[in-house]
Amino acid sequence: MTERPAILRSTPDGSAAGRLLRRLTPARDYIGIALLGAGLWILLIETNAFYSSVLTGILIWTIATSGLNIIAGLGGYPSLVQGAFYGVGAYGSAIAMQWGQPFWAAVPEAMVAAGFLGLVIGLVFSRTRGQYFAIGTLFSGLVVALVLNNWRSLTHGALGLSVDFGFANLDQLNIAIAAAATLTLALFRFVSRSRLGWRLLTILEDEDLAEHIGVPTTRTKLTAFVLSAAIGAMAGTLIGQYNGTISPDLFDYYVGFVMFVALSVGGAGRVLGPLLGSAFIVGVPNLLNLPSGIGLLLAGLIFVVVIIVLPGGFMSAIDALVHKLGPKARS
Amino acid sequence: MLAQAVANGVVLGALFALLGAGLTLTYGVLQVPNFAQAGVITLAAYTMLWLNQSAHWSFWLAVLGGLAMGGVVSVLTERVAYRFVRTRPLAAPVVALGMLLVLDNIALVLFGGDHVSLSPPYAGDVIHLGPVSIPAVGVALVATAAVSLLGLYLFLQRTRTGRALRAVSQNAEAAAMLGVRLERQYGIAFFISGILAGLAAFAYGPVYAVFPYMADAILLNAFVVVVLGGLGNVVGAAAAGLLLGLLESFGAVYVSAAYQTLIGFAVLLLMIVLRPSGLFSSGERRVA
Repeated sequence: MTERPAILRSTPDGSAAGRLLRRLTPARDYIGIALLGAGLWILLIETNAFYSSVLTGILIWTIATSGLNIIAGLGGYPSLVQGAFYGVGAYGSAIAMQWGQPFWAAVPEAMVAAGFLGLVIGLVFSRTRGQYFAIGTLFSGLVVALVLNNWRSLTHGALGLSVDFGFANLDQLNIAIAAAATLTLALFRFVSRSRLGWRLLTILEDEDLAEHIGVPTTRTKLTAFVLSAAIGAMAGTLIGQYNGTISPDLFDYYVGFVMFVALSVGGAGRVLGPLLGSAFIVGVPNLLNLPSGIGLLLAGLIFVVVIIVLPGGFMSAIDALVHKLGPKARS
Repeated sequence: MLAQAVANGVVLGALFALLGAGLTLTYGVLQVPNFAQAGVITLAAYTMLWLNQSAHWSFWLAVLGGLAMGGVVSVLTERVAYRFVRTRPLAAPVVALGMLLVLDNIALVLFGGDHVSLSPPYAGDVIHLGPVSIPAVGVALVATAAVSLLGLYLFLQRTRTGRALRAVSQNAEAAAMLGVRLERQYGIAFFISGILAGLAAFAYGPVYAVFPYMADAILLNAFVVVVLGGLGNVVGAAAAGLLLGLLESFGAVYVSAAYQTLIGFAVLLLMIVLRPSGLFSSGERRVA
C-alpha cells in the first residue's frame, strides 16, 4: 500500500508499436473488461449450480471491493466499513420493496441511502489519517451491524428479512450480476484515470503536499468515499436478490475488514485487483468447502503473508511475471 | 439504581482500563493499533479454561498458565508479523486485523464456537454494599485492574527497563542512539501487553463468557480509551477507561442496553471532532 501505485510508473517504450498501443490503451482496456465480463457471464450460465453459486459470490464481492478500491486503492485510506454499505444496500432495497417500491427504484434508493451514510461517516473520519481512519471506520461498521440487529421493527433483528424478487428468473439475475460486475470494473477504470482519480493518487502519495498544491483534499476524499459506499450498496442489493433472505450476520462488522483483505491481496488500486482478491478470499474457501473458521484462518494467514512479502498484492506478482516474459505493455 | 450503575460502570471501566493500558503501550513503542490483542485475550482465556477443566489443574495454576500463554502469543505476533511492517504505517492496522483473524479462528478451530464460562472458586459469591450488590467476579476484576495498572505504572517510572520503554515510546531514534536496544524493548512491550491481555481474560472470562470473538467488540471500546487518554499514555488510559465505563453503564441503564457500544462510538466521534489530541495528553501525537 505504501508502494508507488503501478499507475504512476510509466513504462517507457519508444517503439512505434509501443506508441500505437499506448494510444489505443483506453479503448483496449474497456474492450478487455467487456470481454472478461462476457466470459464471466458465460461461465455463470454454463457451469453447474455449485460452481455458478461460487462465481456469483465472487462477482458480488468484486463489485463491493471495486467500490472500496476507489477510496482505499486510489486514495490510500484503509476503509473498513465497506461491509456496512453492503448491508445498507441489501436491507435498504429489501425494505424499500416491502414499502411498495419497484426493484428498479429500490436499488438507486438504497445506493443513495448508503451514499448519505458514507457522507456522514466520511465527514467525521476523513479528518483522521491512516490508523485512526481504520479504527473509526471499523467502529462505524460495528455500529451499523448493531443497528441491523436491534432495530427490530425495521429489520426483524437476527431473524432477518425475506427479499422480494426483482427479477423474473435466475437467467435475468445472472445477466444483471455479470453486467453490474463488468460495469463496476469499467467504472473503476474510468475513475482511476479521471480528475478524481489523479487527485486521489496525489493524496495517496502525500496528502499535505497535495493540499499545498491546491488539490481540494477534503472534497476529493468525501466524493470518493460516497462513491465507494454507493457501489458497495449496489453489491448488497444483488446479494439480497440472489439469497432471497438477508440477516445481520451477513453484514457483521468484520465483513468490511475481509473486503479490505480481499482488495489488498488482489492488488489495491488496480482494476482487476478486486476480482482476483474476491476469487481468492470468497472462491477458494467455497470451492474447497472449508468450514468458516478454517476459511477465515487461512484468509488471515495468507493476508498477513501477502502484505509482508508482496505489498502490491497478486497483481504486482502478475506484473513482474509479464515483465519477465516479454516487453508487452500490460493493462 | 444510580449507585448500582456507578458500581457496574467501575467494573466495566476497570476492564477498559486494563485493555487500554496494553494497547497504549504497544502503540507507544511501535505505532501499531494492536487489534490482535483481542485474539491474545481469547487464546489466554481458552488456555485457562482448558488447563482448569480438561487438564484438571487448580484454578490459580491454570490462570498462571493462561497469563504465560498471553505473553508468548503477544510476543509471537510482534516477531512473526509486526516487525515486517514497522516502516509501513499504513499496513500496520490491517496486519493487526489479519493477526486477529488468525488468532480468533485458531481458537474457533481448536475449541469450537460455544459460549463457555470460566468459573473461579468464588464464582457464585455476591458482595452487598448497602443497596448495591456486586458479584465477587466483578470485585476481582476491579482489584486485578487496580493492582496490575499500579504495578505497570511503578514499572514504567521506577525501573531501568521501564524508563527505556518510555524513552522508546517518546523517540525511538534518540533512544537507540543512547544505547537502548530497540528489538528487546519491542519484545518487552509486547510481552507486558500480552500479560495484561491474560489478566483481562482472567477478569473478563467469569463476568461475561468465553468464546472465540469474545473480546472483539470490547477491544474497539479500548481503542476509544486509548484515543481519549492520549496515545501512549498509561495513566490517561486508566482514567479514560473508568470514564468510558461509567458513561456506558449509565447509557445502558438510562438509554438502552442493546446500544451500549454506541456510547463508546459517540465518545470517539466527539473526541475526533472536538479534541483530537486526547483529554489527558500534551498534544504530542494527534489523531486527526
